[in-house]
Amino acid sequence: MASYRITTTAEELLLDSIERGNETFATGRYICTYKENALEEGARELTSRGLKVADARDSADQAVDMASYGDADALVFPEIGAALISGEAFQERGLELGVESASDSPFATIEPEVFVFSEGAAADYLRGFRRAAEVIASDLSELPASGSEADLEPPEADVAVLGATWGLAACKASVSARTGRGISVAILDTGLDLRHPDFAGRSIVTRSFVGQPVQDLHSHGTHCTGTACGTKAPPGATPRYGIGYGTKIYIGKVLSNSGSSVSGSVLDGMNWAIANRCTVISLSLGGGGGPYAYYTAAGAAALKKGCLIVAAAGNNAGPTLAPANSPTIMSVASLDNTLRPSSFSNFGKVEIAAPGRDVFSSVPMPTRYGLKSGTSMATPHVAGCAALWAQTNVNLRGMALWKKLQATSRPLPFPPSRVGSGLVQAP
Amino acid sequence: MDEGTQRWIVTVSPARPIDDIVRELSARGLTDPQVLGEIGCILGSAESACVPGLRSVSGVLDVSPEVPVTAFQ
Repeated sequence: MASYRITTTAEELLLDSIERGNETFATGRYICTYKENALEEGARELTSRGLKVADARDSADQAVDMASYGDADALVFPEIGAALISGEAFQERGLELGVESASDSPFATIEPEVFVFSEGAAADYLRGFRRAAEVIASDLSELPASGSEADLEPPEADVAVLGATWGLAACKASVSARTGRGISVAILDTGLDLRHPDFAGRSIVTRSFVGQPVQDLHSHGTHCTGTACGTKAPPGATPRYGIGYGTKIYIGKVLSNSGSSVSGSVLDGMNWAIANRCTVISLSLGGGGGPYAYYTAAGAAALKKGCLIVAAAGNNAGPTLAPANSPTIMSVASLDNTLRPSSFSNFGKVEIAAPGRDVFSSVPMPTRYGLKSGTSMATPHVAGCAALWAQTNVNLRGMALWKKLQATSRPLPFPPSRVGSGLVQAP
Repeated sequence: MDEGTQRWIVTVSPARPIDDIVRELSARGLTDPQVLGEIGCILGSAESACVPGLRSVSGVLDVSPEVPVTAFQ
């Protein structure tokens, strides 16, 4: 019997998961998120149910060394209003998955903890685990010696805890009641994997501007679309990665399968998206020079017609690139999960910032999911949140939507040239 | 495309009917014009030597060459 205790290491959990042939990202432990201002009450509730509760405040700087918590059943993270609960305690103490509907409950949700992977030596790491699993399987004669590659990916080392991606949590998109229903969002990029099961049943309008089928053979477009518009409930314990899961999706393929194109194709796509009155138009692309009169004209036309163009500032740690450097286009910078500006993120003309490092989202099948980093990944976070805001009020369009996104963003202790008004927030 | 011919993006003022501007641009060497009416831009090809003439057309705000773009990955 495996152990899913607070002190169980990520490696032990992952190995156990592979041994069990677990096809989800669930670790076997659980995350309980408290309602607002219910920190102490939540801890009391866990104690009253017989759990031994430890608190991250007991550690210096709240830098938690799990091994120091001995026999605790739950570990409270006061800064984020959540607690990690051992699998054993969850089973034995009558806790239940889902949203707590009782008004007197201090808990908002209880969800499975899932593995989260970061970029880096990921593939090697997982291959190592695969080999270990195959040896174990062979010894136990229980598991097939070669499992599906896709079951084990995406791969990585830094295992963390979330029911949604860190980006959605940081933007508060994962707790928003809004869906983006009724709002059209255009993603102008390398297209979309139209056979991706996470987009099955969605309303999708497509057009190619580069002489290739819309089907995304690159992956950049599928990743960006996933963040802005992806599903609320991916299968199993895959973390939620999509913000506007109720939106109508417009896929304009303005970049070829090599990830490149020319500004005329981008303009063509902008024109199409505006003609279709897409409330939000997301561009995770660009190039040097500018600001260009044509991009500025396109941004102005968009705002005048109730559309908002958001664009990535660029990834070369230099001045903001085009089209984001046009005054009529909202420029998006990237943040790390420490909420610091990403080292690669461009600066200067920046209106707002969003999660852009180690972003988990959809990629073309059969890989299905993957991590990417860049202002490209930050931009669809803003696009998704913009769709949620637009749903709240029909008057939030064009410049009004731009201002709303800035006014509601979370201030950060960095210059506006790096983060604009701050971290985008969902309604 | 002939040698010396390249793709251009013409940005125009909404104050003049775009079809009138396109006609005049065509007369001054812009070929295969594609009107992007929502945003007030026209895509087309022309030899570089024609560009001063294109810029002189009433209602034209800017004439710039197409530039490369890439995914920010």
